Amino acid sequence: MTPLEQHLPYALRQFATEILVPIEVLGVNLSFTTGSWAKVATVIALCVYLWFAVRERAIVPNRIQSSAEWLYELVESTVVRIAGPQGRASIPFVFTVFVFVWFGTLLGLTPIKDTFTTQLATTFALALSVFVYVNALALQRQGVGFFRHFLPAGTPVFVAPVLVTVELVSYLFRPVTMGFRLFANIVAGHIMLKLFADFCTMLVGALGSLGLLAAVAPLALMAVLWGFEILIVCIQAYIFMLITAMYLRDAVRAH
Amino acid sequence: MSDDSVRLLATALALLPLVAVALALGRIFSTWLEGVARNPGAAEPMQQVGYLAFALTEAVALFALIVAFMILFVG
Repeated sequence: MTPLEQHLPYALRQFATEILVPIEVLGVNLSFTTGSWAKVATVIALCVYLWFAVRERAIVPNRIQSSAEWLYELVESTVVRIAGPQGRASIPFVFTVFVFVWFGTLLGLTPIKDTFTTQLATTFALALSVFVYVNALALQRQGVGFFRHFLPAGTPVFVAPVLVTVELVSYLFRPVTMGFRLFANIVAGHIMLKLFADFCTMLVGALGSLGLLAAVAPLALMAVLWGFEILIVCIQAYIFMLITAMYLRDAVRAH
Repeated sequence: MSDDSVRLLATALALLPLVAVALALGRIFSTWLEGVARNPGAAEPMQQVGYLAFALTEAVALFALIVAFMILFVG
């Protein structure tokens, strides 16, 4: 256990990553951690699932194919409804981000080590890649005219500097809030589950066989919370996609 | 007061936004429910806005949680 882990309370220690393969390039720590493994596992699971789903390309889809079609149509309808038909070209990107976040976080609810969305570095990197993609798309579609959005037409001259600053800061903070929202939601859920799990083991440890009986109630509550947590994961992945689509709307639609 | 007690008090204060978030969430869901009840046909487009409002409001509570953790464990 590292000194940092000892300093942390028990419920937070679950988020510490372990290094599986130490790699160091030019003094930078690029080790393959349990978090990296979770990401690789997510991608493998996704690839296998999607490969099996689209293998037959049947006109009357079987179960697995219709589930994949439902997933794609969810992303498609959301992007088209929010960003309009001009956003169609971005559907593969949004789909990738969405399924990666969703499957990865759902995988984190299994006993597998490290939910990678509980690492701020990961969620922030995801949000940042969305930010970079959206900006590149906006510059490609609208050119320099994109920067006009920071100064709405008809603004009085003396308000302009303040307005531009405020707009610019809130714009630059988008990836930060986006990354934080996902991170904080998942972390809070995992802490809650861990606290209930700890309470069960504490009861058993303190009261013995009587505690085993007493632990039934918190265990049942934990099962309910676990189901609730699945719902939260689905909503958060959906929200992540929704916000990506909203940023896309700003990029592809000229105001 | 000792440093630890000040820290605990500050943590509790940092969680005060939960009051507002609870009120806001109640309002979001009550108006959402009312909207769907009045016009069931518009349930689907309302869903998107509803979830978005829910997530954005809940994020405030979670930011407060992060701040509380930072006060407790960082520094």
